[in-house]
Amino acid sequence: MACGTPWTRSFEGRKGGERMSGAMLEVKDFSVSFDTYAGEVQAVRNVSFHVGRGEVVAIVGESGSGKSVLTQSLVKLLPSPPARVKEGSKVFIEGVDISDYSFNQLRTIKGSKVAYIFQDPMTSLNPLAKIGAQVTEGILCHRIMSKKAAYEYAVELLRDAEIQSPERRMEQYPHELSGGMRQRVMIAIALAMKPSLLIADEPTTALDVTTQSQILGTLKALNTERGMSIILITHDMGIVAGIAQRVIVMYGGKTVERGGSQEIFEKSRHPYTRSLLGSIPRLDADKGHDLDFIVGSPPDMLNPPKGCPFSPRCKFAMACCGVVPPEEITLSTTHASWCWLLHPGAKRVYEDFRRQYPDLYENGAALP
Amino acid sequence: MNDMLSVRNLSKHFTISTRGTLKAVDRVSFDIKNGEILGLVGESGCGKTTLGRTIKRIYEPDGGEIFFEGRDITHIGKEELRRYSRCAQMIFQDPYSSLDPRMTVAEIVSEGMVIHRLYDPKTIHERTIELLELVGLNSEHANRFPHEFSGGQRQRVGIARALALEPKFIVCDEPISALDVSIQAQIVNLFKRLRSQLNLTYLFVAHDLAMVRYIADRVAVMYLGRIVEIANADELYQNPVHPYTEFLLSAIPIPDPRVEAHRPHVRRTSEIASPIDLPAGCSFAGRCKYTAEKCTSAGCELVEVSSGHYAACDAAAK
Repeated sequence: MACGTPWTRSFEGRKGGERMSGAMLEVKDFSVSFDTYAGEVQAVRNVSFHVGRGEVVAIVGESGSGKSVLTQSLVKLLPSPPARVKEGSKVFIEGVDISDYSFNQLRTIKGSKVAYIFQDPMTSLNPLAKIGAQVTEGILCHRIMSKKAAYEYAVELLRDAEIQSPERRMEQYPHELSGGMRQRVMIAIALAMKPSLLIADEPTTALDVTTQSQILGTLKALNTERGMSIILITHDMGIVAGIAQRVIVMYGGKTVERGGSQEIFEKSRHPYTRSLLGSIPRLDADKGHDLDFIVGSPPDMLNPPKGCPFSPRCKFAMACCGVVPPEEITLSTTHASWCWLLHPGAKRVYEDFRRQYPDLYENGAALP
Repeated sequence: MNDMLSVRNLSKHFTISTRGTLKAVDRVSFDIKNGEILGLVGESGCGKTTLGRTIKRIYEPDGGEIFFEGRDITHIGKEELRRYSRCAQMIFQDPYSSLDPRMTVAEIVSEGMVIHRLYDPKTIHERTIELLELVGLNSEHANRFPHEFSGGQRQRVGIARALALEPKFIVCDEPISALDVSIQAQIVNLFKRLRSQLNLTYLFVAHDLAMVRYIADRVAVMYLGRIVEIANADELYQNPVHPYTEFLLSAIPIPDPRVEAHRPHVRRTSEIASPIDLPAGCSFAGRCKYTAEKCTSAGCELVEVSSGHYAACDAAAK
């Protein structure tokens, strides 16, 4: 997959998913608000997480849970005002603090360190420019190579993104391509500057299941073959299982649970995560029962609930849940949950919760 | 009469000025029984929306017949069409563009009752509130505009609008694919409840096979204008016969890391072929791993492989 380009060396040492020490991305106490006429919308509140080198981390949550705002604010992609990253929010990329970077300083990071694939491939490409022009734009802007070399490089990029007959695609316009193909072009553009971290914001939401599985396959290959770190943002727990090593569950602008992929899917300790999992239809399960679903809709972030953001919709909510925000409770080195159920005083309700949601493969059940 | 709807050899072709004919729906036949939910699945561009719209007579069919409760409605005139639309309604895919942004929810839901002059204004108002409550909204929502609602709530408004004329049959055109997964489950459960409460029959169009399994009694799989397999839901998922059905099933992610770790992933498969001027033979031949020589020369017709299970693939049927 390597292309004969001047900066191929930036990949050396990371091939085959080999991990170097230190986190690719570290986010600490990150908060983002929007200042609107109605008041302050607290879209993201005190979120901390990290992404290791060569790691795939999924951020999961319903629409409006703040996952896109969080990731787009990392390199200040949202217009400010109205968006405002709050004091004390820290972002480290490869150990370097970029929280106070100016617009020009951030330009050295965008594309080359962090690249984005946006949700809607129909609207994120320029309908008036040929695919070739859009893929080469970044490279030519930074004057890294000549026009001719850039053209050849772009063909190579399209091929890497698993687009068939890339030479022909270079001369086409976005409307001539299918949805899946456009998303692949977006991936090619994101790869142009050889980023070490790829942020994919719902890359498959608008696509068919068959195209979805192909796009996920491409992302997976980027991770395993090139050791690229990926943040995958999605509302569909189903697609997380096959690709992510760790999962962060967000609700109402806060992290409600984080853990390794198996920990989240098999022994989640948060009612919200459990409901999200219960709402996905499974092909390999019994059909008889109704799907689990979450009553009501996500909270109004103008006046977020004082305590746990999920408490108004939670089946197990106790008196304290709506008033006092739950503390982080560590369950293992990677697994943590923010829920009052885990408090020693909530034993009775916790047992109810465990009865309704037993762990997968508990008591030595047969593995598939 | 046992069948709510029977479709025989239905075709809908679009002429594309310079490039030929697009056979969006090509000689499709199936029945929907009273009170049944038929799921219709396939990738985008396979013609499932066109089929739904042709059945609803939004499009004029180019061949074949549609029977609704035994009556031929293929070429009925304007006045009869009006009566047909009281019995058959439609729910659209995109809850953001299918509601008029300048009408209140009450106006949207009651429009059909006004047009068909069903009740006096006071009853229409009462009925509107009743409908909103039926779909899980309440009277406070009646005077609001669509932009004030979330996607799931808008889809509920669309459902209330479809129910206003007390139809027997509803064409649901991908009603859940624009929604979050947790909200999809809410809406699917609502569809199931309404079916038993109001004794409805659905044609449920979707591209998500996993979700369809939860709602449909029978499932039809469509590929490039043709139905390639049709069977009872459980039968189809347990014993898929057509290679395309198999391919669709293999693309669905399973929410379990241990299972996913051992599942082969489909990679680099070619995209759906252009539906314009299809070559002779099986349209899936180009993507099929079992393609034999004869597949490219002659296509297969639907044949019964087991009781009530039809598939259009000779190789697989044997």
